[in-house]
Amino acid sequence: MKWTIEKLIRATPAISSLPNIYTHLSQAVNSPITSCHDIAKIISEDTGLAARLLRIANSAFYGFPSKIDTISRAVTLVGTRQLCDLALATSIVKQFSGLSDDLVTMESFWRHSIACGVTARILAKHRRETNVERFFIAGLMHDIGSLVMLSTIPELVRAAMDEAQSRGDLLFRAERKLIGFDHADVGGALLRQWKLPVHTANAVAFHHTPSRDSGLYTDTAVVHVADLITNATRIGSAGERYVPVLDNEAWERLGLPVSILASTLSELERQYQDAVEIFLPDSTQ
Amino acid sequence: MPTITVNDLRPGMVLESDAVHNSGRVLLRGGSILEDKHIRLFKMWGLISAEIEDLVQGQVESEALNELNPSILEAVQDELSSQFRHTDLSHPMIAELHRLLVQLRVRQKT
Repeated sequence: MKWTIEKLIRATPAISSLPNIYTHLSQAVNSPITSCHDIAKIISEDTGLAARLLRIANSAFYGFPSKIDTISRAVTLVGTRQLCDLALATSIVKQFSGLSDDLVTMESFWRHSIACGVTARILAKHRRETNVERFFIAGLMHDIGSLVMLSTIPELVRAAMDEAQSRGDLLFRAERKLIGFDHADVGGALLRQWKLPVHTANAVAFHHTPSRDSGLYTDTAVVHVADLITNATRIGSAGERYVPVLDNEAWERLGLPVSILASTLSELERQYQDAVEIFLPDSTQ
Repeated sequence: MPTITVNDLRPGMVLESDAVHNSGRVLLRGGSILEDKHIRLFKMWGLISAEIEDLVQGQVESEALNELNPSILEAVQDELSSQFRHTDLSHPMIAELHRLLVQLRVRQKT
């Protein structure tokens, strides 16, 4: 049977919808009549989520000088939109934690994704973007298409990995050759189905081919570069063994000097461990 | 006028131009001789790099690399050249990333 992206997403039931809490929260955030207090109340109803968000607010991500101990204070300091994005981030990792560890272990997959999210966030910070969590989300989810493929067509993914390994080629090229589309296409389609903002869906869909992004979103360029850096550092893996090709136009679009790379790597080292402890609480380390 | 990353700055170096923070604030005027406290201050502010007089670009790094064990350096470079096989090492961004990873991995292995 010939797979198409739509068929594949339909055949993977666990992922057909976004966590309720996110829909609920983003409606509240986008509505002009909700207050910070209302947002804090919605978050507090999910105690697990509230606890995770407080840990994030108290982590090296923010480095606030004093301890933040209530959600309403976190909402004020971190921002509603940002907190909503972080809520999505923590629920996504939870929703996808039960997949088989056969080809790529879930732990390794999420370590790579978290590192990419953290890197994207650091790059966005260097660019003085207002909502850096939006870049964290895009980086965190950039390989989510691989999870869909791993859970529904694992044998094809294995064939693509073997092909990539024997030819020393990049995984997404092998996927295109064998399956007809790659994990970035699947991830982008999934995020569009989830009705996430187009800049996030495009960042995922075009993270290997940023020049195909007609919207020329900063998000796409940031995630492209963050994925490259993360692959180079070899923190975790989503199946790719090589450093992907840099799209020069995307790099130029960031408008950052090469000298930021040194501080990016050291900030990544500092923030990554905190992020893993928050998003992968069950991991051994 | 080579640009040196903050980690490679040493006391006694002379600033070629003003050390300017992202926000536009001047942290130290050009012509100043760096002292320990300046470098500490740069790090606190998160300054990334500064321009230094009379230094040849790459000199600081090659001096640092020379102190390393050559067999470890070679192993790391082999490993990286396989990993970077699809990239264009002449691109300044890739070249910098590669340089940093050489340092990082050699440090991890020693």
